[in-house]
Amino acid sequence: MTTPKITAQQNGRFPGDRKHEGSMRQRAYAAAPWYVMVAPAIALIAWLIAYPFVNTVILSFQEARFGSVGTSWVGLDNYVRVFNDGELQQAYVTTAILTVFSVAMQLVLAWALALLLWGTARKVSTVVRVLFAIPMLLSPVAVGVVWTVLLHPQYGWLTAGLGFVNFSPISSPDTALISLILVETWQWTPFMFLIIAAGLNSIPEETLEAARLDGAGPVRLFTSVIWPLTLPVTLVAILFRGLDTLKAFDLPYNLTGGGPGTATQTIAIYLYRQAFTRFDQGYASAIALVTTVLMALVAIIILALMRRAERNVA
Amino acid sequence: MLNNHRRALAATVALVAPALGLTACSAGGGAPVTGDRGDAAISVVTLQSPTFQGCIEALIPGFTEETGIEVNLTAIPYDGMLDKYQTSFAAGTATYDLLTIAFQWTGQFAANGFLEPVADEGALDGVAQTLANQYQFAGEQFAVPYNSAVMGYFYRTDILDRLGVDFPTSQEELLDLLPILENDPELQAEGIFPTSVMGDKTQGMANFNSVYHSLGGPAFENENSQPNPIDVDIATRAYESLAAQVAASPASVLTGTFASTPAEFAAGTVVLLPAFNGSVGSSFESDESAVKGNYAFTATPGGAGDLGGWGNAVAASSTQKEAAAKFAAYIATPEADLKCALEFGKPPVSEANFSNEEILVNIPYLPSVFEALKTATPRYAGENAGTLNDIVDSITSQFLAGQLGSAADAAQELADQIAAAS
Repeated sequence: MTTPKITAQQNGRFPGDRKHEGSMRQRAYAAAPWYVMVAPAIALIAWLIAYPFVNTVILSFQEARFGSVGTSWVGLDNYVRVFNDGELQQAYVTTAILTVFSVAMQLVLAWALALLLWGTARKVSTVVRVLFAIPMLLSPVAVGVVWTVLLHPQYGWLTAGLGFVNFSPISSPDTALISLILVETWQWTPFMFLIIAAGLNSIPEETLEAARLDGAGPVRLFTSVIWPLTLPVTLVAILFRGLDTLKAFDLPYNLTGGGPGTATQTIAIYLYRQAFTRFDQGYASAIALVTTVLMALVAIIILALMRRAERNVA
Repeated sequence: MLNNHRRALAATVALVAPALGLTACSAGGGAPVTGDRGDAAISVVTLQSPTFQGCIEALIPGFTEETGIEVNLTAIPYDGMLDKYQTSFAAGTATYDLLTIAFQWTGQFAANGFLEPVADEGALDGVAQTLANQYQFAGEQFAVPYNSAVMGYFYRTDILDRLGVDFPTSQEELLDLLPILENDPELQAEGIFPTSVMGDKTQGMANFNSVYHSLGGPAFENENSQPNPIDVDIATRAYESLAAQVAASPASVLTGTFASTPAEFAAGTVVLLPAFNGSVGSSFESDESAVKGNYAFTATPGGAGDLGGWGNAVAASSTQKEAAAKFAAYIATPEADLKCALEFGKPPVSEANFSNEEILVNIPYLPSVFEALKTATPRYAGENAGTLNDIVDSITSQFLAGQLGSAADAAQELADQIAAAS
């Protein structure tokens, strides 16, 4: 008996292909090497994603103190706390305000910059794009520290330049969140700009030319051609930035520490405090899961809008 | 078919070999470590700061020469330090043999069996008793003090002399002094503020503890490390006092920390500075300081002050407990304590060193620190200290930011939350 020289792929046959006859056992045997090859990846996913997720779900039904010996089942108590915790609800509101306003400002500024460079200054756009990208390349921790110094009421260059006397926008509960939104916008507008600029550059020149020949002015060109064609890309940018801002931790933590009081306390900061200051792992797990569900809903809504926009374009 | 066999075999070998390799690597982690000479070697972790890392590094050669024990030092930043310790303890393996811990972590670590009690009483010879007591839980000693820290007041002697006023001895006198400083035309012209409170969220406990106990508030915990109820009336007065101090501070007050407010004092823009001696060290004596020779330190008006400080504790899971305990004791000897105070500005723990002439050249206010330590009051340090201290931090910062209504409302909220968490 000789060994077949032709492999399954060369023969047009693949493991588990129902078109090819053979017993279950033979098919399984033939497919075994591929399953073995895939096993490490599946094991890695199970270890890194599935296990922590399942463990988080279990912890959310327990009274569990990190580092303490022993846990106890508490049913839905942690979830009841989530819906009765005023400070957490405040953190949700703060995070929502931060997300909506910072992403909206990033969107408007990014569109303005992208159109500016796309139209009038296209030749220098490559250089300018690199320059614009600098804030995005910095670590949010560094950004937080630098802006804290810039906005210091006594030694800050920016507060001095703006003529603030004994006033720091990050030290006042009334203006700290606005400051955080502005710094977040400063750092992440370049990201949105790059995505939108790429979307603009992908619009076929023929389409634009055809619209112009049909008599479309700049406004009509934007509303009827440019905006619909770039809407899917814009929604992708909103999705990325929206979800990222909902998880914001490093920048607010380093800029204001969540304060003054709870003025800039995001969900992530509150979650961190519960998990690593109070070591209340059970409650922290419940907050994490509820927040994940809320974020998933936001993502689903944006993805639905994206599909709709893509259908309209098609 | 044979090809498939070979593939399966190759894949299995490819999977098993790295797995065995990883297993072999991880198995080495918990084994006892020995030095080059066959003596014990210990792993020590401390705070990433010159007065901690620098001091301990400088002591290692002498210790190794004396005992033959090798020391591997790791320094980590304060942020995330507690997380790392908890993770290390929860893993049950001896990542570190000796750990530098904040005193308020003593109870939560000891209650879960993560720390080894100090067996050698000689380790505390010469150490100020107040400092040693900080690391006791359920009647046992769990760490050897590394440094001393108490929250008191640095104040400008030249300015108080010019105004002809003494430093206040009670919270009432302090509140009377603030408007005098605020309305002084000379101070106004120079842009000097009456005070600068560390109003940051992380400093709420330090502020509240000092004022609450200076007003006569009962200790946070009883002798069994169980929380006492908060006295709402005294807590209300404490919050009123803190609110008045915040109003007399610079605009950065609500984000002020133990690092930023001493810098303001050193720049000469503050008259009264509530701060930890440990976060100042000898910085006010530097050539850049605007207050050199014109300042003093004393206990918080009313007598109490938030007790701080760090100690060295042996991990219960360590396989080198004896060697680790020896190093903890070595660091606290009067000689090592003196070396670190002189070279790194470490606040001493040896009672004799508080009046050492050599140290007083750089830290002239040290005798006042020793006096303030006698009346200082600890924060929560029991089993549930993390939660209780965070509640005080949180309520205090929210009140100072105007988010909790009146002082009475904030005090009641604090009392309720502490009671619920106790």
